[in-house]
Amino acid sequence: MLDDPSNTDLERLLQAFDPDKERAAEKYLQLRYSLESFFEWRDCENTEELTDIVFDRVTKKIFNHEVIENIEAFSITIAKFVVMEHKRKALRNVDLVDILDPESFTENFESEELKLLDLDCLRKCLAKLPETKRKLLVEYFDAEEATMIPKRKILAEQLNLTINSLRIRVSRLKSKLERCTKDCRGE
Amino acid sequence: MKKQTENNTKFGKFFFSDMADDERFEFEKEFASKPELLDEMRAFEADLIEKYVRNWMDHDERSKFETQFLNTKKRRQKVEFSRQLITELSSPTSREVEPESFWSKFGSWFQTPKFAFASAFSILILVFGGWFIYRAFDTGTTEVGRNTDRANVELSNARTNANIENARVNADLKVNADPKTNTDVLPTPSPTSAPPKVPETTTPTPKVAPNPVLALFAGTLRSDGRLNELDLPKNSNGATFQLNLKAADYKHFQANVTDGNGNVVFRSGILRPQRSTLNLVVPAKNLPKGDYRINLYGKNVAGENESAADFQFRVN
Repeated sequence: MLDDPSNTDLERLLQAFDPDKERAAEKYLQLRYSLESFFEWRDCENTEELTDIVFDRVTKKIFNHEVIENIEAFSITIAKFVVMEHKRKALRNVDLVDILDPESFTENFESEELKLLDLDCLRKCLAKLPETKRKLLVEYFDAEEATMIPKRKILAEQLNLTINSLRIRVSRLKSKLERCTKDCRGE
Repeated sequence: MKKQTENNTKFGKFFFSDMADDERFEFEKEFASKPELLDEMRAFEADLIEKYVRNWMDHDERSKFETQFLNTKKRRQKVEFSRQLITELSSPTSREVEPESFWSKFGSWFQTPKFAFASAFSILILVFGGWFIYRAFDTGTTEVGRNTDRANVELSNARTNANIENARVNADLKVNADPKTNTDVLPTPSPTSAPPKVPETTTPTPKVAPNPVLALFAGTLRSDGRLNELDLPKNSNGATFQLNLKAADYKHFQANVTDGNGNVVFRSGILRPQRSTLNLVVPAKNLPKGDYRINLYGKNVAGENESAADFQFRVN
C-alpha cells in the first residue's frame, strides 16, 4: 500500500501516465477502476486493497527508473501476480471459506434489518438523482422479457442514443447508485 | 453491429470462465487500456444480472450463472442490489415520477408566491369591500340601500365565484397528487365546503417486539458458570449481540453463528468494531430454541479470515 506518498512521489507516478497533470489524474482514476474490475472479475473480494498493492509496486518500479512504455498493460501484468499471491494465501485459509449455495447465502448474508437499511439508503439515493435520470431508470426497467428490446430501442431513439449507449448510460447510473447506497450504509 | 455481437460473445466467454488463460489475460490488458470496452463489459454484466434477477434465464444459463458468476460476495451483493433497485423502480412511488401534466403544471402555479400574493390581495379587497358595503347599508338611505342590494348580489356572486375557483384549485391540486384522477369530476362548490381531503395512505405497521440485546464476552460461560441465555420474543425480528473483545486487533470482522450440531445458521456481513465492541444482528428465524456458538473472525490485510474469538449462548 502507498504509505502517504509525498507530493513528489505522487507526481512521479502521475507523470508516468501523462505529462499533463489533469489528464494524468484522469488516466490514473481510469486505471484504478480497470484494476478494481480486474480483481473483481478474478473473484477477489478486497479489490481496493489489491489495487493499492499494484500501484505501490508500479511506483517502486518507477523510482527504480524502470522504463514503462504502457502503464496500463504493465499494471495488469503486476495485478496478475498479485492475484496469484492472494489466491495462494486464501488457499491456506480454505477451512474458513464455507461454500454455500448462492440462494442460501443471500438469504443468510444480510439480516432483515440490514435489508431495510439498504432499501432506505436506496430510496435516499434515488431521491438525490435528478428527475430525468430517475425517470430514465424507471422507463428502462419497465419492461417484460418479450417487449424489452423494442421498448428500449424506442427509449434510445427518444434520447438520440444507440441502444448500446443507452445500456452503458444505465449501467453507469446503476453503479453510481450502488456506490451511493454503500456510502449511505457507511461501507 | 457485427463488432457488438463479437464483443458480446467474448464477454459471455469471459464472465462464464470459458476463456483460455492467455486469451483472458490479453483481453484484460485490452480493457485496461480501453475505457469504452470496460464500459461495455459493465453493461453486459448488468444485463446478465438483470436477466437472472428477473428470471429470464433458462435452466442451463441460470445454473452456469450461479456456479461461475455468483461465486464472490461482491457479485452476490450486486445481484441483491439489482433486485432491490428493479423492485423499487416498479413500485408506485417511483412510478409517480411521470411527465409533468398540464394540470400539475397548472396546479403548481397556485402554489407559487405570486398566487399567494394575489390571494391575499383578493381577500383584502373582499374584506374592505364587504366592510364598505356593510357601512353603506347601515346608513339606511334608500338610494344607498338599492345600491347595496346590487352590491350584495355582486358580493354574493363574487363569493360564489371565489368558492368555485377554490374548489377548482383544490380539485387541480388533487389531480396533481393523483395524475390518474378524472379531471372532469370536480367537487360541487358550496359556500361552506371545506377543501377536499386527499385520502391519506398509511402503511399499517406490524407490531414487532424490539430486538433483545445480549452482551457476550470472549470466553464461553458467565462468571457463575452458566451459559448466557437469551429470551427471544416470538414477534421480534431478531436479536442483537454485543460482542465484547479483549482488544480490537482487526479493522473488520465477520461472524458465523453455528447451532449445537455445528451447522452454520447465520453468516454476518462485514462488522466494524466500536472500540472493542461489535454489534451483531441475527434474524429471529435463524435462532430457534437451542445452544449456539458465535465464531468471530478478523479480516487480515489480505482480506482473509483469522479466528478472533468465540462466544456461546442459549436461546430460550
